[in-house]
Amino acid sequence: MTRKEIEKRCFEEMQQNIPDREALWQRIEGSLGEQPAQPEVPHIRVRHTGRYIMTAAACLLVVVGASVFWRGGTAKLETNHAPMMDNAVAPAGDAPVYDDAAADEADEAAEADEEDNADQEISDGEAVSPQHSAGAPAMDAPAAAADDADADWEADCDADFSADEPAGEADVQDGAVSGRQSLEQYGPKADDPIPRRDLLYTQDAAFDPEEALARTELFVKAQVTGVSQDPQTGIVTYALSVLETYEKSDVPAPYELTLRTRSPYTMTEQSQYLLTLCQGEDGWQLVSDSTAPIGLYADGTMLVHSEWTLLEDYADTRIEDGTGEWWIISDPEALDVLFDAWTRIP
Amino acid sequence: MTDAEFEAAVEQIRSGDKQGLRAVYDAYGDRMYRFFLSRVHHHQDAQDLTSEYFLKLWECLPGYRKGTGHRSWLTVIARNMATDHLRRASREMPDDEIESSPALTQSESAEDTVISEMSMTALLERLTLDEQEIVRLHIAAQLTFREIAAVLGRPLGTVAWKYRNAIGKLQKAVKEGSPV
Repeated sequence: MTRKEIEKRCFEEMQQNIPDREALWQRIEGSLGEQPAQPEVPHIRVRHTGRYIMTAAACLLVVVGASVFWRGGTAKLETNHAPMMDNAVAPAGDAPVYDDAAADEADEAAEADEEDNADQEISDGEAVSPQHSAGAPAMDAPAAAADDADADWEADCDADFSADEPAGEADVQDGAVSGRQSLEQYGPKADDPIPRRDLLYTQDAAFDPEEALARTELFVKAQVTGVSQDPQTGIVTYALSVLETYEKSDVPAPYELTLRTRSPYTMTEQSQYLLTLCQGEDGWQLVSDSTAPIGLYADGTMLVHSEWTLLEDYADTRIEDGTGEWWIISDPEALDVLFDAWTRIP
Repeated sequence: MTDAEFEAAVEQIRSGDKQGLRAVYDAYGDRMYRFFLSRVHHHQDAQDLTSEYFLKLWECLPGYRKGTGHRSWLTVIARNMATDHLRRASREMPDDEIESSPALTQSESAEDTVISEMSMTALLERLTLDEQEIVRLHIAAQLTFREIAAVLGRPLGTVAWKYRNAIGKLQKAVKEGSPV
């Protein structure tokens, strides 16, 4: 029985005894109430009228006047030009001296102007200018924050639900990101100080993907968290955090991995890879030094070495570097092909 | 139903037009029934849940936001309702019935059980819970792997991988006439 036949049989069983559509609709329709009124989205806005501002300004003048009066009527209204501090403690040079009263007054006036402007612009339904938004955060912040949150949420949703198109495909096809740029951005870098390539094995031409899959007991998607190299032996030690595992049988999946290898296919810190592992004497290890890890990018594309010949049909872009040809693959189905081939191996 | 058609239906619902809900029902009624049936294994319960589901949609669809992938959105609601239903049922059911309920024997050892009735529904019960859910969402609710990944919050590769495994197990079981 093929996969399609299994699916069809499942579907037919689930389809049995489907209730009469009209009868069920009548039942639903009969229970529908009035559409509840949608609550208005609360919009918090501070609004000051002109009368309030006039009153506030008048009160301020009274307070300032009283202050001047209580200082004996001889003190001048202090300004930025008037010294307020003793010379002993005054800053050197012509540093401006802060005047509380005048500054408060100026702030109040400026704030009043801004609020007036904001009210005018908002009530006119016009967009608030960036400068104005910066000047009146109390008024615009909630709406702006909500907009930001919406934008973030929509962006998240786009990321989650726009999956009908393979991620990254557009970029690759549009040529906006060339293969070379991608490799340089994500892939192994020839000038990385660690590991030193001259201490690693040269590429092993005897790689056999079927053999590698046959030896694979576990696929892991992991992120490199640390890289170090023994300068004597050239052995590179990778510390990895396991993100996902794909196993054929019940094997205890690791959460952290330490892999030691002299593979020429170096991995870079903080990058993610799909690795083929088998059990060794000291725990999980790469199935062989000649098996290239599959680089996994944040946009869903993969960097696959041409050794993985069974994925050749999926190559969007081909890149050459010192370790051979690499393919950028954006179709996630490619991994299914890999896993499918793996599961078919007894 | 395309996203645009769905959003047009939502607009109708917002204005209190029942035809908007009818359009959604015509497009997804059968799927949701199949989905509920595959979860609760009881025709009357599945019908009741389908009915409740569309009544719930009538209330919450006006809050739907454009561009969020309506099929995934609809399925999340159905999935939550089915889960709630099963949870309630397990609380209300006497212990002896729980033991014999087909919906609640998922963890039963496959080795201890011989499937006498080779129905796919019975075979589905022998898959892991993850696999069952993915098969139901793909076959009953007719979601794509990408939509299932969004609903379950799992990576696409994992979903596709588990689905393949599940179908492989079903194939093997059908072929050998033995438990999965």
